[in-house]
Amino acid sequence: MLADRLRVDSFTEFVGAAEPRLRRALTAAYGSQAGRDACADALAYAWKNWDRIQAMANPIGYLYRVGSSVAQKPQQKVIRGDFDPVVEHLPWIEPGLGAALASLTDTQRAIVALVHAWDFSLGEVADLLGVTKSTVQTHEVRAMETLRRKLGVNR
Amino acid sequence: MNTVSRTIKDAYVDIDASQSVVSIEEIFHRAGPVRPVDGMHPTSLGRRVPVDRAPRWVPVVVALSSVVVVAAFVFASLRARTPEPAPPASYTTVSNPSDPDSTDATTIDGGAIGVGVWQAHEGLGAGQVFVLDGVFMRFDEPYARAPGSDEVADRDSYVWASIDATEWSRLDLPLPDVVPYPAKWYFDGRTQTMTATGPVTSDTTEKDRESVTFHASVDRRDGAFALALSPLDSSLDPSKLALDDRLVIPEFEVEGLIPVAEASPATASFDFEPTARGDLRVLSGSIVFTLPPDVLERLPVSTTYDECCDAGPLDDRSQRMYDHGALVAEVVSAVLGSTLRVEVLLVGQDGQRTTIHVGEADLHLPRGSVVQSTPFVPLTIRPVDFRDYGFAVEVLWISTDGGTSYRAVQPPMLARYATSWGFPGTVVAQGGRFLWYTEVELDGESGIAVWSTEDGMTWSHVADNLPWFNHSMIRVYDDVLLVPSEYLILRSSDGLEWHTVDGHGGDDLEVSTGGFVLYDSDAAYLSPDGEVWRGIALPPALGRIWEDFDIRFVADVIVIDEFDTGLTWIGRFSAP
Repeated sequence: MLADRLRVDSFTEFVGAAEPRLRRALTAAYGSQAGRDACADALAYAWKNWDRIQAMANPIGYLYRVGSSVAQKPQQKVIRGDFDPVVEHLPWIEPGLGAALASLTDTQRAIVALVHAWDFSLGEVADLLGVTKSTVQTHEVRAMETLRRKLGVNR
Repeated sequence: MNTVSRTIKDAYVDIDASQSVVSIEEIFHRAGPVRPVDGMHPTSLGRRVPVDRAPRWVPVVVALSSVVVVAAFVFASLRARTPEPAPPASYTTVSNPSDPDSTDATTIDGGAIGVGVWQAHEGLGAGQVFVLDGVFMRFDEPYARAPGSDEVADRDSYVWASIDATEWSRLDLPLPDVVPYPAKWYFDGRTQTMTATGPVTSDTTEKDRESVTFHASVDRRDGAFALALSPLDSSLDPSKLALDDRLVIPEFEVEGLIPVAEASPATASFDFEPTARGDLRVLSGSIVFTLPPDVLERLPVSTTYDECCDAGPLDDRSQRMYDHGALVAEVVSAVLGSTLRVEVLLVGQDGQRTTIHVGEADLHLPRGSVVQSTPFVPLTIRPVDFRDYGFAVEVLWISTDGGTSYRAVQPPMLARYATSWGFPGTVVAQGGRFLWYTEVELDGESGIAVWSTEDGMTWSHVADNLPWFNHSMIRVYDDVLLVPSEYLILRSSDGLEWHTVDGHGGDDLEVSTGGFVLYDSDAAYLSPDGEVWRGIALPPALGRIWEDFDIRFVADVIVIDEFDTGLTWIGRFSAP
């Protein structure tokens, strides 16, 4: 009983710390609805495999992969334009942002959001996505170039 | 913050605010009933198998993590094998789809001419090509899709080697038990560190990414080669280390004033945190030990933490104090492989560090070394007064793999003055010293300040207000520093004086075996020294590459892995 209680407690504590990062990363890559679903599924997977997950060096990075796999399953409806409603909701910011973001690759979009929206360091993004810091930087630079070009701004 | 960045931040913050948090209840609901402990081990496929069928390499990794195990595999000469092994079936040479003759001659901007022959190879899961000690290496992907098919081939994976990236020999490589099988290999091409992850399954939606990292080297003699793999680490969870493990000093040898036997018992605890590099650094540490009163009386030390830190330039994250007994001391720790070395320095009553060497002990970490995926660990941590800039803690990162190809220092940012959100600074190894570039803002003006150290202990403020440039893009090869921009390259041989290299610019600059690689969507340039560049014609497909690819070269052989298409381009170039 005590072991079970401790297990639940440790997992709950982990969710508290990891859920925002994981959800934001998956939301950035796959849209708000699919990203949130993927986050929930990834955390459910984590609970089912908690003994193994909690021993990992980078459990959030692992679960990001799990969530990505969920989001990319054929039966999943991933709508990259999922950003459009949000932008419509915030027309005073930039009406073209949704389309511009949707034109990025999943990886580029995730990196841009994590870096610019959530102030992740490049190293943190690299850990999360399982790529090198250099790759993150390359994606970030190119994605921002694309966004600036599509939004018609210089900076 | 720039306009696009601001816009993105606002939009995503709003998205986040509109979403409901994934609750514990929802997670449990989605997970369904799970018996926490039922003697079954969950596999990466979600199946549950008896514990005795759990991946056997996991405990082995732990067991071997503190022991350097060299697995040397000698394989025959690449040339002498008869008959020459056939290329793996999954590595089929195909004609260049854009240029059937696979020959290109292009005048490169800048005057250089590269005459190249490119061949495109269907990747077919052949894996990336790496250069290790001048030898092209390739590790098969164990699961790959056949071209034009969704069927996944379930097959053994092999290691291949070549000296020209054309003729490949399969290595008869009896991988040690610590390698997850089948495994996927990662190698960054510079640090001589390979990481095997696995088991990789045919279900590409879920992969068990437990990993083992090796130091890898190739010994090349008389046309034969030996590949040596030395396990570097286990999958140690830094957070668990910080939470659960109290490191007990088995022996605490004390020199100088304090007799060895009198400095006991001694315990140590350290908190670690992962860095942006994925390394681990010591965030704080403490040693608690008790000394006899007569010994204490002889020590010129203060006795309270407050006295220590109020009086001296000691960063409160880098050392802790020890009451009841009580020495004010600075802990200098070094994590080397599986060993944490601890030194304690006394702090005098005036708050200034004395240099009394109190003790040193090796602590064997319970679960192996602390490095997850890179061979760098913090060697020393020191608080230092950065004059007008405030105090900071300096961390010297050092390679644990014995290699000298790359070392780095990662001191923390000067938080009060750093202006960039992403770059606390860039540290490069150059000319036997480390240079730390960081953005500072003084009196409203931004600039680059540079500190230098040779040992990580003593730092000198060597330059200020360098012209702004993207220091995070500094690339170093053979002590030459380059910074690329779209239109030019900045080059320096000492890290302080910079000049532009005429006629070249590019989007990306990387270091590969042989020197620098500068490339954009139209062309690539190679240079061993950053001064003399040779343009090469890119394969036809590269012009449309906008995503991931790696380029590596040895002498006149260039290999480009195009991840999106799975093509591997192999080019051989010679000056006309």
